[in-house]
Amino acid sequence: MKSLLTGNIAWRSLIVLLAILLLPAVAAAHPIKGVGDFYAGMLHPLTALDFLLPWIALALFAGQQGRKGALLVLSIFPVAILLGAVLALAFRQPAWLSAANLAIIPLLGLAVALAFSCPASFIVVFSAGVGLLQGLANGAEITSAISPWRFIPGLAAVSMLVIAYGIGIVRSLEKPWTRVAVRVAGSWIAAIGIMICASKF
Amino acid sequence: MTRLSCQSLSGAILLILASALIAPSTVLAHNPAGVAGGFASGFLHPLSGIDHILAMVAVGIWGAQLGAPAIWALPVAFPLVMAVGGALGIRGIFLPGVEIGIAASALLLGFMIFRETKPPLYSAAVIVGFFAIFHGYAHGAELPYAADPLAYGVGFVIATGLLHMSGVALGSIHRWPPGARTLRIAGAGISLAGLFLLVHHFA
Repeated sequence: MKSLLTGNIAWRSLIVLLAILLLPAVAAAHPIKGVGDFYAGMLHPLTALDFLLPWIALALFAGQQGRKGALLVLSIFPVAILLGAVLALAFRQPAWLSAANLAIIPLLGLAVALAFSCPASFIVVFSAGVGLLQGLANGAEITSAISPWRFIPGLAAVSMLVIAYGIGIVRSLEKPWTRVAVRVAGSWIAAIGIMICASKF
Repeated sequence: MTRLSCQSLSGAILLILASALIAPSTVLAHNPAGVAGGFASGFLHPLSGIDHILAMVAVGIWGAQLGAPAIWALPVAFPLVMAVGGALGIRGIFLPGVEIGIAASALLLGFMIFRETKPPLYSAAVIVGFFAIFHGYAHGAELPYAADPLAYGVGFVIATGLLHMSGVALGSIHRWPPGARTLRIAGAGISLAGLFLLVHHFA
């Protein structure tokens, strides 16, 4: 009964993931108008594939790392996002930022595909680095019409949610083939990342 | 146990059906631009050539015949190798005989299914990987011209993955003796279609 239940959860989450992946097609306009600035911050990274892909990959990565590693990503990534977005208010967006954010897509995808289990120090540096880069890129798109003090907490909140969902999904998987399905998802993200880097660099 | 795996199989088929149903809504939009257009053109590219469809479904069926660990190793390794081929196509690096390679992959993979050839994992991965380069190249060559290259990449990788999944799902009838025979006949059909395409290419 228990495995049946978790099986259902895994399938439902997969369908939700697919729906999220298809969502950008609908919500290409951004930043989103008509919702509060907090929710604009929450929706912003979910409506662009160049944010969504690395976030999904990092969430799956966190789920593969065992309890301690998962908690490290869950606590460090939102803080780094917050810091990065605040830094973006103070400094101009560096020229290399978008290139760095594209380069992390194949790296994160590969880490999930190979199911690397990493030492804690690596997880700390990795999630802090990805968080800072993604926070800088998201923060750079705050226009003068948006209140950054509402947008940025929304951004940090949704980053925690995405990681928590990823950890929840991956850790609820018990059958071996479902673990492989996570690695396949990582391999798809890595493949997309390799090709997009080849086209942009 | 069997009931459970049946359930997950029907779940997989449902998922494929659902995405097939969702896809037309993106396609129907006239002259799609931006993310929707990029995704639609990328998703449709692997589905628009019979040679690609046959070869990708054949990879899944062969994986199902080979069983563990190949059935799990191939879907993880294939997109990565395909992306290398895609990168070559994106950069416009010359690769001779792409169309011949794709037709030949249907011919050879279909023959492997027909004969139920079970090589060691390493050589199966090399055979599939070699052809993955040609497939990736053909799709990747179009990526820089897509309305949204990133969305094109997402669409084409998902479509390829779903074709593999269909192959694995079809291949699961392998456990049942009449099913195994049906698969061998299907393999012969794929192989003949590959041969026809190959001859057609030279004629």
